[in-house]
Amino acid sequence: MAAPAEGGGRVSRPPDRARRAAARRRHGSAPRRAALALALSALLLVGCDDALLGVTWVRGDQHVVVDGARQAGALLVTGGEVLLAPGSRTDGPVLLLGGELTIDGLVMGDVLAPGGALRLGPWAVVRGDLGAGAGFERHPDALVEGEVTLGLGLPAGAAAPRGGGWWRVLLQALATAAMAAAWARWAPRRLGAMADAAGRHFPVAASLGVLVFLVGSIAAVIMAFTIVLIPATLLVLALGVLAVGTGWAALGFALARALARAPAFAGGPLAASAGRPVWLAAFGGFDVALVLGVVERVPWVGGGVALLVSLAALGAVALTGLGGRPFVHAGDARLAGEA
Amino acid sequence: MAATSDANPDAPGAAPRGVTAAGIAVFVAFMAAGYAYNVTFVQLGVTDLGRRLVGLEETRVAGAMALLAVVTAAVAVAVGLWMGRAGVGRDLVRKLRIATAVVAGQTLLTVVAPSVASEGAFLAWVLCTAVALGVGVPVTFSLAVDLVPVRHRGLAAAGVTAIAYAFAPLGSGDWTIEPLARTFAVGMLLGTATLAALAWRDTPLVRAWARQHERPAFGVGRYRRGGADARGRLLSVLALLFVVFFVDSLGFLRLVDTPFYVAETWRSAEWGPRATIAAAHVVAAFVGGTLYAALGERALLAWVLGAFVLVHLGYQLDARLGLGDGSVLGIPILYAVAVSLYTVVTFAVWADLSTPDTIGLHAALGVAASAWTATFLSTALALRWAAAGVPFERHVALVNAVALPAFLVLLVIILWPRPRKGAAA
Repeated sequence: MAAPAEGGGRVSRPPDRARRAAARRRHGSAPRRAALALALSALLLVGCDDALLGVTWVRGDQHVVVDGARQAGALLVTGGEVLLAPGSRTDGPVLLLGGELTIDGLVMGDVLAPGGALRLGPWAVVRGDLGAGAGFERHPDALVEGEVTLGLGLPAGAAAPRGGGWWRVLLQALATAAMAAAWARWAPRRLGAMADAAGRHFPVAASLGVLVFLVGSIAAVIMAFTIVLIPATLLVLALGVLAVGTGWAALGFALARALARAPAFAGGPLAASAGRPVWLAAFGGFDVALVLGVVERVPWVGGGVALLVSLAALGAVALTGLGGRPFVHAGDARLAGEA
Repeated sequence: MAATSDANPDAPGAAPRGVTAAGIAVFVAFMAAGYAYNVTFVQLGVTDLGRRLVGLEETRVAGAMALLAVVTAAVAVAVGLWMGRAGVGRDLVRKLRIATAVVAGQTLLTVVAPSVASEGAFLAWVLCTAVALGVGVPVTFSLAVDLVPVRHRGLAAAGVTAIAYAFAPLGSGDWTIEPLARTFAVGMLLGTATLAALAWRDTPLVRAWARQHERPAFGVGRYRRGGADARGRLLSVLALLFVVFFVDSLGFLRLVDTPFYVAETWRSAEWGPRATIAAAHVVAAFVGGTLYAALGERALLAWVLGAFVLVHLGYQLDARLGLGDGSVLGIPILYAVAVSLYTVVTFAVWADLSTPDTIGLHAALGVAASAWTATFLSTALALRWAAAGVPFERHVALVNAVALPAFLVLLVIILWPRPRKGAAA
């Protein structure tokens, strides 16, 4: 049985709803576009000025918050020596990237110290979580009310190829299959649009994927440095991972659809599933994730190939606006218009 | 179907593929050399010539740069108008002969540049350079309608960009006038000889190229098909590229003058960082070439301007935090990518907005009025700010003050609801 079309397969609509739908088709969704523009503007503006951020950056020399003083906003330390003296209060989160930080007062937010030297004195009270790397000392009387995570920072060899992670590959494949099946079940047109973009316009999708990845990752790093945008950074990263997973699912669907139509597979179980997009999508998604998991372990070229395919997957999602509109190559569109 | 076959360079009656491929190769080589000359020798070399060799103050050099921009733009537009009226856009041999004369003149200017010693000689040199550039720009850009089919213009532009930018960071990093003059003079002598051979020897290859503009696959630009509004599109692309060039140049000129930011990147003593930047330029050029053909120009320009905004925000953040040279944030790589993207657009879009009769004027307006004027005005402004002692962080903030509102305006224009025509993203 074929999956139902999006929108529940309703044949008739009330006239006003039909008018609105037609207007949306003509003009796009204005509120959504306006909201997107506002959100982007807000993100950009928040990253612009100290006054908006409320962040104190210490780059060098000495910075002391004395007894009874209050350090408003976030504190970022990239160099020098900072002392939060007994009786002082720091409102926002504290990020230590370099230099020395001694906390002997009250910190209301989280403390994150992947770099530099962090020391908690006997009068230190941290109301939030604390994460620290190698240069961490803690007095027995220091109090951390949240969770303490030690060993932050990139462990040695983290960039080396991961070995023995076949369970991870299998889980990844199963998750991609489930995601592909869900898209095929509840949004088949969107999945089809993304699959078309990834399968038929691979170079374009890969090119846009390169841009999205580069701009997105650098923007995420920049946002993370502003501290207040760390949640937005995490959101961007999560959306990026989801987008790549969705792209893999779309690529898998394109692959399975092509195989089901191929003469070599005529009469086989794959061809028999041609009318069952949910199964096709699950099969294709599983295969693509599994193959990529294997390919990325091939020395020298494997990582590059897996990266290229993942970028194309990401690009296909971006090209179609998560499958919301079919991608039409500008050259094809112009020629079609002429014809 | 008719449209499809019209636009196909391999359609019946077309020249053999080898002829088309050779034409594309000549265009790519010529434009890459010309662009490398203009960006490296003229833009960076003139500053060195005026400040170090002649000993002028920064404000005087800034004035000379502005003079160069204005004269270049005026001459280019005049030559573009003349080309349209005299039918030069349809005459490949005349274009090749004019180009030969221009390159020969530029070779002479290059050879004498290190000998310029007084302010008067410097101004005369700048004026001659401006006239040569003004004549050269519309003539050389108009070669696209003879040599590069519309469907391959994105990739041809990618080739030009990749070659021009790949060699700049891989070179010695010494951007003073003497070594630049030596390097360019040798290459330009070879280029003059090649162009002269093409322009004055009657060969079947040149005859075949000379007829190609008559076919819509070459002669009618991508944005001129189907009764498109060419003037409105030309104006919007002109305005957007003016902003992009202005922002790029305003920021980069200060970066180049800030040793802290170039010592470990563009001018690194190590080969690795320079090779990485060169590779980023090449990859981005081909990404840009692919996307140029596939996306609408507004989406592409939004990516370019967005990337520049991010670059300058990154440098501002870097300067405030004292993180290093921007590498922590990956900014030099993004800068290389953004520059390659807009360069690809620049090399393809003017021909695609034109026919053989309008290519001269459109290229002149585009390259001279938009790119050159924006670049040199921003260069002059950057020099004035440097002379006034504006610190780096403040300089980048001022660049952001131009770039960010421009990007937001572009975003609003792109996201503004409009009737859909089923076109691409």
